[in-house]
Amino acid sequence: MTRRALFALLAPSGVLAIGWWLYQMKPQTAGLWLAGIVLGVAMHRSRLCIAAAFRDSVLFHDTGPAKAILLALALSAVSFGWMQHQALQQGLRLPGNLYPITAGTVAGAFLFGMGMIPAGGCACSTLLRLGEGHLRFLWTLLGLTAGSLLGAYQYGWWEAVLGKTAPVHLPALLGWPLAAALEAVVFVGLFCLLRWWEQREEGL
Amino acid sequence: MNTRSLNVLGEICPVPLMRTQEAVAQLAPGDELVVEVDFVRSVRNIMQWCTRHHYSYKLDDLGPLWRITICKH
Amino acid sequence: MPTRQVLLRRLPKEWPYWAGGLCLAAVNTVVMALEGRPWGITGTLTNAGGRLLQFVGFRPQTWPYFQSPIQERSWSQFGWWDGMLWFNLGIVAGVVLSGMDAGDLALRRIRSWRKVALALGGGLLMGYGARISLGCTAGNLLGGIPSFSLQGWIFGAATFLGVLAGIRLFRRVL
Repeated sequence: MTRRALFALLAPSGVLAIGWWLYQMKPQTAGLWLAGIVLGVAMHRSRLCIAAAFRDSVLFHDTGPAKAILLALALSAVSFGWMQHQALQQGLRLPGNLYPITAGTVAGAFLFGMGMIPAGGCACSTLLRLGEGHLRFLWTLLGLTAGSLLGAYQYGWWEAVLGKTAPVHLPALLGWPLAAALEAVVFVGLFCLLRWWEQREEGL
Repeated sequence: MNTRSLNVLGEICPVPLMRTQEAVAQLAPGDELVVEVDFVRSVRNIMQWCTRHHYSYKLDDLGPLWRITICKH
Repeated sequence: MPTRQVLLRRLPKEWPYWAGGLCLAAVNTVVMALEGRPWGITGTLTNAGGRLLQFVGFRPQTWPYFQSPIQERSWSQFGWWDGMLWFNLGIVAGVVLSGMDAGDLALRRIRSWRKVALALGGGLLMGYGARISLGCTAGNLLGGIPSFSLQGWIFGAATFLGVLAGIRLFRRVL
């Protein structure tokens, strides 16, 4: 038996064993482990990458990934919106990532976008490339963790420098129909913008 | 007809396509460029770029690496 | 004939982008339904790093970040069986399985120290940026925008500007 065949046999069994072990510890985590595997396979096979949605659109007028991300965002908005609506009707805590807006939101996103270029991918691509066997991304992972801890250490300063707003939930501000319509208009608008951009001559 | 080769093994996005663009620009019509990549995302990148510019290409999947032969008309 | 050819070889090798987008939306929804909060990578890394710092004797729990209500919740619940941690590990495992099935899995060595510097520097920028804006492209874009939250859109716009700046700055040294 070659080393390759042995690995081909061991890896899926290992994945199943970990899943079974997690199921014993916390069934929910086993579900998420499985969901992660599905996403890993899908992202690897479709060569989709969130960093590419930004970078390749700008550099190469290759808007395929950006359009796929827009599709994912639009579909998720439908399901998230439904879950949020249900939770609110039942008087539960509003689910979702609703964070205050601070100076750090803008500065941090700018730094994040800048960092994606030398690193060759965002945090998500780092996981994907690690799975593909690129040892270089171990360093990216180390940088991500160290940078994250430094950011967490200094987070208080970024909240203090310009103050922070309460999290802005658009449906609370505008009502559900208007908020949904607004997101739909932005999605369609961005899609049309990408269609126009991909037909233009290359060059930045 | 000349054949040139470009080795971008170990390079990651967006470098492989940037180097390919530079190399293709220096080809004479009818020449071929053989690019070797081991970054899977860049393979799709290069294929899409060739389609966009109507260059014909051939993709060889060599397992851990990919060889793309681009022909400039 | 190896097992993988019988079990998995039927999966097509190259999927169109939109298929990836569909799966991304589906998994995004599943994570939100199972965990009650959307997918986050750097937040999980921060929690893991924070636990490590705690282990070697630092006191990250006194930092304002870990005391703000949302972060405190995920931090205090973070342990070996944290769902988001295993979701992220599952992504790596999924890519490994997919790569084995396609036959393109290999250890790809680093070919120069310059590349280590680029990876580490880019990682530091991304990590720091993600923390002060409270999420990476997963948390703020894929989690925030579908949550109808304004900070997701602001993050997206500023990331785009950052990418433009990054291309100008780093294009010569890549």
